[in-house]
Parts: sequence; C-alpha cells; structure tokens
Amino acid sequence: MLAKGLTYRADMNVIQSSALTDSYSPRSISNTSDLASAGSAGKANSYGTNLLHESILTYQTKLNDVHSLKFTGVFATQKQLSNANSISASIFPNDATTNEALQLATNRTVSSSRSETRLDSYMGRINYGYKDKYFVDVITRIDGASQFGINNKYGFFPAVSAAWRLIEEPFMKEQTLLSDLKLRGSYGITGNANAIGAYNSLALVGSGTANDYQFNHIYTTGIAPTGIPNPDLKWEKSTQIDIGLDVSLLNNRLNLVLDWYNKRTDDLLFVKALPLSSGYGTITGNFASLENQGFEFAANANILNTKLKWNVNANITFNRNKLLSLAGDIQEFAVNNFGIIRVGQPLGIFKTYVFDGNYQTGENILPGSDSRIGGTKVRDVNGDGKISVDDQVITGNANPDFIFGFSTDFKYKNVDLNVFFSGVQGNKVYNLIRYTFENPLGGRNLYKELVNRWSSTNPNNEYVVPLQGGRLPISDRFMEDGSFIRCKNITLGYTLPPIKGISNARIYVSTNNLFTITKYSGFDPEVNSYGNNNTLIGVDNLVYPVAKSYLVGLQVSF
Amino acid sequence: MKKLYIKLLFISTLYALASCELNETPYSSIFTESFYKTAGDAEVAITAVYGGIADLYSGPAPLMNSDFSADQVYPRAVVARNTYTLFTYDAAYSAAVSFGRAFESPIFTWTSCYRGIEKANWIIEKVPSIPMDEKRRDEIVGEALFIRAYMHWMLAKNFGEVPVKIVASSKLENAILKKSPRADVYKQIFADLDLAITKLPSYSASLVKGRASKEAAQSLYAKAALYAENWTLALQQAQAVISSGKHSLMPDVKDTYNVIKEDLARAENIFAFECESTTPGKTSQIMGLYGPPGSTAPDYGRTTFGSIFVYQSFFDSLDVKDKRRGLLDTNYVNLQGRIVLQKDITPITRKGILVKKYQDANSIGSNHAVNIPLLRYADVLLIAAEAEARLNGSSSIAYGFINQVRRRAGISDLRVGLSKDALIDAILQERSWELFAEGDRWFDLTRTNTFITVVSKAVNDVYPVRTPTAKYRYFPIPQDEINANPSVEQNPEWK
Repeated sequence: MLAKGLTYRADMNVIQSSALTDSYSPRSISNTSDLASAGSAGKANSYGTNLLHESILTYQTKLNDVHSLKFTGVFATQKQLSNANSISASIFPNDATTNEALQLATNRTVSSSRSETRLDSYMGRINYGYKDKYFVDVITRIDGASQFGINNKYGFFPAVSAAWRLIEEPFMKEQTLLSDLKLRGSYGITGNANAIGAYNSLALVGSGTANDYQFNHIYTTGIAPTGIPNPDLKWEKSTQIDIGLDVSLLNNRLNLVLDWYNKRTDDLLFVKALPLSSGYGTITGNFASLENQGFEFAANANILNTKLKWNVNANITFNRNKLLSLAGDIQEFAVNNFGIIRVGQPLGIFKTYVFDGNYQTGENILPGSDSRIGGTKVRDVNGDGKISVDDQVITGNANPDFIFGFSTDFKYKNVDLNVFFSGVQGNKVYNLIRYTFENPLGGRNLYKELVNRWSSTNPNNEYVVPLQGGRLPISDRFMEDGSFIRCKNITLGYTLPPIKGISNARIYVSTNNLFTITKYSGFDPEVNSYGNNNTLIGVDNLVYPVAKSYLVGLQVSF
Repeated sequence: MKKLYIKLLFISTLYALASCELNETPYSSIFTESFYKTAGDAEVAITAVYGGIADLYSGPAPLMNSDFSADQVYPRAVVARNTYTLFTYDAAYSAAVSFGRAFESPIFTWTSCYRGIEKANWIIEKVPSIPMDEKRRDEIVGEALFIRAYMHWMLAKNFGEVPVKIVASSKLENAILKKSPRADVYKQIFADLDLAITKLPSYSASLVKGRASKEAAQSLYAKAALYAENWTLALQQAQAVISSGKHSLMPDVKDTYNVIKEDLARAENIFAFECESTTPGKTSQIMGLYGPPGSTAPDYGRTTFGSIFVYQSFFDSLDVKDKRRGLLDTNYVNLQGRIVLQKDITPITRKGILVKKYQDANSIGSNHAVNIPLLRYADVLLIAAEAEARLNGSSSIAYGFINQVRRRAGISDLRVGLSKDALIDAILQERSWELFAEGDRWFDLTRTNTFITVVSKAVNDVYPVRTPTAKYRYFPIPQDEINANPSVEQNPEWK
C-alpha cells in the first residue's frame, strides 16, 4: 500500500529445469550381419531457465458511494533461456559400459544449442462499476515478443467488456425464483505467440545431413541456409465476441452459465508448405484466417444441503472451427500424407484412401493401387476403374462434436467424496503407430494380431500378407473414433476431529485416471503427438500414456 | 522484512529497465548476413552444394524411376516401386508418398534438385565478394555453377518445362517461380556451364577427389546440348573433353566399376557421386537393391535385397564376346561358396539376371563405398559420335568415336557404310549397352521420343504388359508444387 487505494505488487519468479536423457541400444539385439556397426548410445542434457517479473500498480476508489473504479497497470516481462547439448555414439566393442563411456565408441556425433526468447507486456485496465448493477471493463495491452520479425515485435490488443446485473433492477425485486441474473458481453482482440519458437523470423544458416559430402574419401560437413526469413512474422490476432448469461436459481442452489462466442483469428501463425522449387519445405508465418464459433454451458447444483451435502457440476462445450482463407490464392495443401488443410474446412481433417479390406484370391487388382492378392484394398471412390490421388477423400475430422466435464461432491459429517469425469465426443484420431505396427516392414516388432495375417489358407480382411514390400497405403483403417469418458479423479477424505494446536487435519485417498471408456485401440485417446502444431491435430504417433495413480495423503494446517 | 521488500523492488526495476530490448541473438546459429564472409565460409558452403548430389542420389531416385521406366532393368514388384515400370503413377505420386517411397520417386528428384540449386545460388551471389584467394574463389563459384547446371538439366530431362531458379530464396517473393520453356532452361544451363568452364580447374590426379573439373563441366555441357538437340554445341564440347587428353577409357570396362580401383578409374569417371560405407558417410540404396536377395552373395555386398533385375531381352542383346556382359550375371556364388543358378536367383522369375556395376564386398551393411558414375568418358565419346552423325551423317569421325567404346568392350568395329539413321540407331544401341543401369537409357528413349514402341516391347514374365502413353515422356510436376505455387502449371498432358 503506497497511499490510500494505491497498491504496488512485484513478483519475481525463477523456474529452473534440467533434464538428462540416456539411451543405449545394445549389440545383443543386433542382427549378426549388422554386428560390425552395432551398439548405439546417446546422452543428452538440457537446461532451461524461465525468469518472470511482474509489476502491478492498482488504484481503487469509490465515488459518491455508487461509482466504483479500479485502475490497474501491469508491466510483465518473461525471459526463457534454454541450453542443450547431446552426444550420440555408435559402434561399441561390447555392451559393458552401455552409454556411460561414449569415448569407447568408434563414431561420435555432438550437437549443442542455446536459445533465448523474451516477452514484454504492458497492460492498462479500468474496471468501472455502478451500484453493483452495471459494470464496464476496458483493457488495453501492448505485448512484445522477441520471436517476431524486426518490425512486428509489438502487438496492440484492446478489449472491452460489460455486464448488467438484471437482478438488481427494481422490476426483478418482486420475483423469488431467481437469485442472480447477469448478462455479460465482451469484445476484444487478443494476441498469440505460442506457436513461435526463437529465431523463426530470421535468415539463418546451419548444418544438416543434406549438406555433407565426401572429398578425398573424407566426410566433410557443409553449411547452408536453413530457410526463408520472414521479417513480417507478427502476432496472431483473434477478435472475439462473447455473450453470456449467468443465472442463479433457488437461492443460489442452482447456478447456470451460458456463453456463446465467435472468434475470428487473422494472421494465424502456422507452418506453411513452400513451393518445393523454393529449395525449402516450409516457412512459419501469418498465412491464414480461421473462425471458431461455439457454445458453452455450465451448471452447478447444490442438490442437498443437509447433514449430507451433495454438489454437482457439469459443463459442455460445442466448438466449430473453419478455415476462412489461406495466403497466396491457395485452397488446399497437404500437411503430411494423411492430413490436409482446406479452405472452408476445419483445421485437422484427414484425407486418406478408404479402406476396403484385403484383395482376395481371384479378385481383380485395380491399377494404380499397387496392391496384390492379400494386400490392402482401397476403394475406387470416383469409380474410374483405377486408384489415384482422386480416390483420397476427406475421411475424418480431429475436432470433437463436443467436450464435457462432470464432477460431484458429497460431504457427510467428516467424510468427503469427490468424483470428476471428463470426456470428448465425436473426434477422430489417426493412429499412426498402429499403421507402423501393422506394417510388415521387417526388422522390428509388430502387433501380435499379425499372426493372423492374410494367406491363401487364411484369407481375411484385416491383416495384410507379409510380402508387401514393407508398405501399407495410408487409409482410414487407421483412423479411429477418439471419443472417450475418463474418470480423471476420485478422492475420498476424512477430516480428523479437532486436535489441539492444529487447526485442520484431513487424510485422503485419491486416484487419478482410474478408468477410461473408449473404443480407441491405442494407449490413450487423449493424444496429440504434435502438441504445439495447429495443423497436425489428433495424431497418435506414440506418446507416453497418462499414468494411473493412487495417492494417500495427509493435509495439516496450523 | 521491509528492507528485503525494497531490495526486491530495486532488483526487479533494474531487471525491467534492462529488458526493453527484444532483438534476438541467435547464439547457436549464424545469420546469412554474417555468413559467406570468409574463405572458410565459402568452403563449407560449397560442401553443402555437393551435399545436394548426395541428397539427390540417396535413393537414388534419378536412377530408379528412369531405369525402371526403360527397357533394361525392372524392380521386384514391391509396392510403389513398380509404378514406374507399369506407368501407374499420378501427379501426386500418391503411391510413392503413401507407401513411404517418395525418396525413390520423381517428387524427390524435383525437391532435391531445387534444394541443391538454392544452395548453389547463395554461393553464386555471395562468394564472389569474399576477400580470399582468387583462384580458389573462382573454382568455388565454378563448382556451384556446374552443380546448378547439373540440377537444372536433371529437372529438364525428367519434367520438361521447369522453373529456372537462379536467385536465392532470400525472401518469400523469390520463392514463387514460373515455369520456363525448355529452350530457356537449356539456355541457362549453357550460360552456367560457359562460366563454369572458365573458372574450374582442369582434371589432374591432384584434383581433390569428388570435386568438379573443367572437363566435367564440358562433359555435362555436351550431354545437355545433345538433349537440347544442339548438335554443334554437343560435338564441340565433347571434342573439348576428348582433345584435352585428360581422360581415357579404362582398359578393362569392369575396372570402371571396381571399388578397389576407384581412384584409378577417375581416368574414365569424370564426375561421380562419391560414396563411402563408413558412418557418418554418404551412400545410397543402389548396391543393396542390385545384389541378390537375402544378403547371400558376398561379392555383391554384405546386405543385399534382390530388388532389381535385368530383362532377359537386354541381356541377350549383348554379344557373347562383349565384355560388358561381364557386368551382368545369370548366377552367383553364395556365402557357402556354392553357385546359385539363374532359376534360383529370385522367387519372382526363373530368369533373374544381376547387375554387377554396384558391387562392394566390403560394404558395411547395405552402405556401399562404390561410387555412382554420373559423367563417364565413354558417354562423352558416344555423345561426340551421335552429334557428329546427326551433323554430318555417316562420317568416319563418328565411327572413330563409337569404335573406341566398342573396342574397349571387346567387340568388333561397327559395320561401315551405315546410313545416317542406321548409324544414329547403332550409337543409341551402344549407349544402351554401355550405360545400362546408370539412369541414362530412359532419357535416350524420351529425347528421341521412341519410348512408347521400345518400352511396350520390353516385357517378361514378371511384367507381361507395359503400356506407356505419350504423357509419360515427362514425369508430372509434383502436385505438392502446384498446390503451394499457383504460378506453376501442370504439364498439359497431365492436366
């Protein structure tokens, strides 16, 4: 408190992280013919430092007892530093030292990197309230991120919101059904820099295996430009309008929150495919416009408020997204060999062949399918008698129809119980790892079901004949329903009777991710192998599944 | 407590003040603006351009899709390899992409060539202003010009009309290119080679092994001119190589492909993809593909797959006396020292015939050290012969060139008195015998537009029917290029 109504708060945060990754692939699992080059090891260190400072100055006052005013000014700055180095080595004489003595290997490669990003934010906010009835908030902020192009580091993001508590109006005084009624609306622009790593706008050169060559029989490392710089790289901006209604009924025992929103994102940050003739594959930039529109509904009910207390919370969100435009007259491009981006469609659609079983003995193999008897049959969607790229169609959407959550609390005397479920409905997951493990490429593990692979004596429509040349077509066979309901948490607690010197003591048992109801065949339907990539959604390329955990705890406060 | 609070306030304010700077320092990378400044930069940058050759030939796509399309060799019908043999590919190369064999396909040739060209463009733009030894600087620029020309020629012969890329993609606008007529592509190739020839050193035993020489540029010039049907230029450049006296045919044709005699064979191999089997090392799949299945033939390499065989008709077309027949085999000695007969070479046919141009008994796994020849003196002689014959008909000079190749192969001189057309046919046939499995034949067939008749006759029990049509003369421009670059149009036959 600096003066009456004026406060200043400063936060400093330092987060340090370090990781060491060890790996060793022993000689003992190598083919005899590959023993000459067997044994490979890795050791990778990474260190990260995240510095955060926040200064908040607020001034709060009330005029004439009816106008409440709060001014807030914030300066925040964040610096992320990371340092990494790794060594990998191969060709070991034996397995004795595994990866603990890389100097014993014949070949060693090293790499190291260091990066730094910073984010500066300046924010001003005015909260105004009139008689607990009308509220208006105005926020303006300027954010600057180092990752952006030289002329576009800063973005300006204003927003305004207003609320009207109708319950305070005289005409509402008579009724008793509603205990609160509030209409909310907001309009504002927000910025996003999340998808952008350090140095994405710069013209850099680097090494890479396609830059190396042999002169006089000696391996030589080359250096070349790594991409096209994008000095125009700038903040992604979303303009969002939100209209909401808060309703409380029955003396606040039932609370409902309804929201409708429309969010238009321009200058969407994403990685765009470059013409192959540019010499590079992709460039990061602001190349698209996207629309998200949705409806959120949340309810909280205080069902019993007797000796037994029972609360229920539920929420559901319906979101639809649509790509409005792509830069440079482009209508569609491939993100990979099963995902595309197309104007007018959501982000995260899959375009694949349609799986139609296996070719059975005597069947006519369609030209262009490049299959064989016992191999995958894909559908000739356009019926032209051959298989071509025209038979690859949109077969799925990684975006769910809706997501939902449900939780309930019981409390009886000293015992409390909380159960929390969440779920997703109607999304598709591309199970790339199943593609890998059903693909009889040789030299690696496969699903045990491949014992039942196709043969002339065991014809089936599931698993292909092994003589495939080690390839399966990308079809919707590997696209699965990713809907699930997961029991995220159950906690049972008991609050101990008062003990002298202890204000509160509670013991509890808890379990996370106890069970999941899903048809998805992979480890975890809640998967996204390419987390930060906004064009590669809903792909399972093997992630560490969520852990099921059981906890016993004691909470004591004095 | 209050003291600490003030201290913290002070520190945080200092920190805030010190931080009004959002410019980036890329600690572990170099800016292009601060690169290309020293002799050392120029050297590593030109290495990266040569890396483009290794990248291009890692499949090696330029050999696989062209040779599989032609009449000498065919792949074992694994998915997405036989699409070229059967002419079932589409503009998206969907089978190759979908089956994970893009790196063997024309889409890779396209991508990789432009990757190489881009790296060369940076050298050509930046290196001339580096203060360094002038002779070496000229050579580096010459090497980049040579490889840029090689890549453009690779694109032109595969795809017909292609974008000419001679400006580095230093900004996004430079990345959007239009196609150029074939004549303009060749014009650029010739311009680059004209300059390269003035800058590159002549071949000598002391030339760094793997680097391009003046003769390599002249050989490429001759070959590109032949493809552009500029016979005068082709003859002139081929003759320049021949009269330089720097190169010659290896007395024994087998030695040209013998990994043990690789450095000796540089007399004939004017430019090659330099392969090494060590790790790290640049190599390709080619040895593994041509060797018998199941890694059973120690002479062919330690790890081989039995993926490519020779049409019996091609084998039979070679004279029994022809030493080049020794680069093919109808049986092999297995690990146990026993002879595996032709009927047992591969399960797909009883007529398996093996190619012995890419053998490496000391390979490490499937990594071979044997180089992939890209420009050979024998090729130059045959270019000279063809250009001479096309210019001057059945001339003794043309006979002189082709007979050098025939004599080395141990076959009699070409019958005298052939008509102009018959002589040209004989030279094209000689090219087929001399350059089989080197990624050459298909382009002879397409540049002479004879591929439809020739290929439809090149059939066997594995591929009983092959039906190329006119549109297969050039590969379609990859759909990915067209999707990302609205200013490039698909070849009309492929629309």
